[in-house]
Amino acid sequence: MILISCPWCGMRDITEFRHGGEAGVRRPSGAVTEGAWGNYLYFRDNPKGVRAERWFHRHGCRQWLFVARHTVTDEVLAVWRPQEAIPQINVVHVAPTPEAENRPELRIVTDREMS
Amino acid sequence: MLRQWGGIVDIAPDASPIISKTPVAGLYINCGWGTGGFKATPGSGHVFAHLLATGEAPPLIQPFSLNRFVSGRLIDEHGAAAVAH
Repeated sequence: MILISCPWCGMRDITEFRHGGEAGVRRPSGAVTEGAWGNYLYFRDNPKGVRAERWFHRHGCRQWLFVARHTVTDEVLAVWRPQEAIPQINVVHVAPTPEAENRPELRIVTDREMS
Repeated sequence: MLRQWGGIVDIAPDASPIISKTPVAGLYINCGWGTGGFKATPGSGHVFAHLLATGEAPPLIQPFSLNRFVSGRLIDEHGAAAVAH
């Protein structure tokens, strides 16, 4: 059973929440390349380790919150509200994992190259 | 209720499969079939094998490249297969 400590409701089972994807995704501003725009729309990090995520307390207070979860152990390491600073996460007790690599920039293939 | 079950399917943002090279050399993917892949497996295996053997996608699957999420040429199949995607 995975538990999330909702900042408003307290400790609840994860089935009360809906996963809201990667936290901290920022829409690029100004002129952007197709690669950067495609990355923003469709590509997300999938680290083997601690991931910052958005969760929606669907069957509770229906607020959005942020969670730091270890994707291998499902351990919830931190929970914080929007507008709050990301708390210091103590990962000493978790097995060290490599940092998520930056996504390789996709090369745009033109129609001429594909045919 | 006598029984219930649930599963997980992989669905791309446009609900169409991805049959493609990847930015990683030697890594190819054939996925994102959602709930509609079983009947397509013989055909997709055939064209995927062509891709692996030659390094070039046959014309039939070129639109299903991973690149479509960068170029914007999505294949919107959200209404296909009469299932909720």
